[in-house]
Amino acid sequence: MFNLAIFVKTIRDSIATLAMAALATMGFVILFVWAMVNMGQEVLRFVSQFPFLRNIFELSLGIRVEGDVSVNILLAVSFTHLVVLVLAWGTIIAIVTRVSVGEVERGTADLLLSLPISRFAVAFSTSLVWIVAGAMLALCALVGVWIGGLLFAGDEPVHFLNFVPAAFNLFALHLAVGGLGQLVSGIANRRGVAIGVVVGIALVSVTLNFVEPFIQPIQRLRFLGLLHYFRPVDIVRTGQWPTQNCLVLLGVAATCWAIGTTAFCRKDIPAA
Amino acid sequence: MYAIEITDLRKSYSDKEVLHGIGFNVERGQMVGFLGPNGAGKSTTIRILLGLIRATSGTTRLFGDSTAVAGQRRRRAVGYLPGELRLYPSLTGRATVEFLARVRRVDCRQEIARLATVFELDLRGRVRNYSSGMKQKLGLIQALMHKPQLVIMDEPTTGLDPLVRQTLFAELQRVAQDNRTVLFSSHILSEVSELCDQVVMLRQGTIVENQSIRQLRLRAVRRVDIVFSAMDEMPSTFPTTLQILERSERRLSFTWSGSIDSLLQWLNVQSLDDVTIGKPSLEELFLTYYRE
Repeated sequence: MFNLAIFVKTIRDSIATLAMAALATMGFVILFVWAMVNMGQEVLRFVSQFPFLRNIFELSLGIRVEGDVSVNILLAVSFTHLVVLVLAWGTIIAIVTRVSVGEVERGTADLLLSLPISRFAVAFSTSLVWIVAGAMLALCALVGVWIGGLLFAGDEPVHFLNFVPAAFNLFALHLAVGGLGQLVSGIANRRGVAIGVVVGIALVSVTLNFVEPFIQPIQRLRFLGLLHYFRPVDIVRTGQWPTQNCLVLLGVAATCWAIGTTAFCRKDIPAA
Repeated sequence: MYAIEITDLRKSYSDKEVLHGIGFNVERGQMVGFLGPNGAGKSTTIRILLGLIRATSGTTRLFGDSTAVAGQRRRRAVGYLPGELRLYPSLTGRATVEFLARVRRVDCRQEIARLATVFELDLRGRVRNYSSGMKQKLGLIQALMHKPQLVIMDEPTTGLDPLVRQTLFAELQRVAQDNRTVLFSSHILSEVSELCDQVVMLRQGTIVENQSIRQLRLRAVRRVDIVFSAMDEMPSTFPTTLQILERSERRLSFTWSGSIDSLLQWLNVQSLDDVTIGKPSLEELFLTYYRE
């Protein structure tokens, strides 16, 4: 079921990308903390002067600009920032498509899959790598908040513990994207196609999440977007674990993974 | 128990059938040539045997076990060289074979070192810097390094110079001497006739020949040159197995496609001054299948 050699090789192949994405995520969140601690309230005051801008801000981030917006709530926005999501998803999609579709396209699958190892073991061993990567990237965002809080906290302390469930929600979101990648990789024979489809679905999800507060008919479809189940601002505000949302995301991840792995185990490997 | 058993194997892509119910067995310790022109279905058969693609119908067995059920376990005993070998360009030769050995969970360092010496391959270089011949050598090493009971090679001599080809043949003969089995796929007739005990020939997804090389040689074409003792000794009619190539006064050159006994019988009743009988050539026999 688990093959150490494949696990280690996948880690070796991905370690540079993963390390860069992890450092970039942490660095970005630290900068975000600095910016919000020093300029957050000014930004909010500026935004509140323009009703249209304020509307967008409130609806897309789920915060009331004229209410009592704490620094902690502003910091939670860093978890939903496109930079953090793009870094994580880019890394996860690169890893998830590397073996199950990348090796097929390169022709090295001929050699690998003729060895005495089941395709399930190949899928399982490589999946562990992107699961670890997802956890690492979520953890880096959390560590970024912690370091930023230590370095730049002003009058209002950063409630680090409130960010832990938000980071877990972020991890569950990464797993859902990885599961989706596994599903598409299991079916596709071209890595470029697989990446394109997963990125497309992720973009639709982000767009859906952004526009649904403004367009009434789309609101009925919001449950389809992965980001609908990722609410770090609410989590940091209440400090509650997002059990239901995480279960939905983990369910999506598990279902997609199971279907993708089954497809990978059953598909014909075309000759190089 | 056979090393390979294939029964009524069919494979279709969309509505096109590429294997039309083929079947053959390979005994343990045999060295079998799997011959056929490009596109005959050799690689498809091998890929089904190794579980890379699924058969539309029919059964394949390795050492008595169905590959559909026990393929993973049985592949432990198999060493495979793909027809279109692709390797990991960023790894060194050594890292490549060590990675594949680790996936197999076997320690083959000694055999890797021996094969690298035999094939004269420096394993320290990166695969991306290897020539196609060096990559092929690395492919051969990974296929043989765990001393498999069954070696399946799909066109293994591609990119090899004649000296390395001879080294490969010597290695395969060594495998056969250990009572291990070799399935050697090729479209080069001379290679197969030089190396193998038996030939399975595939053409357009159908087996057209499954014979031992010895039996095939009996049916093979020989070139014969004879000189009659006098001009009027030359017969006016000839056996159907005789194909005249050149004819002049007392001299006759022809090919003989029957058995050697029948040739000797026919020569015995002629009045001859000289006879030269050439070696049997399987080439001509196989080419008739290729051309059909």
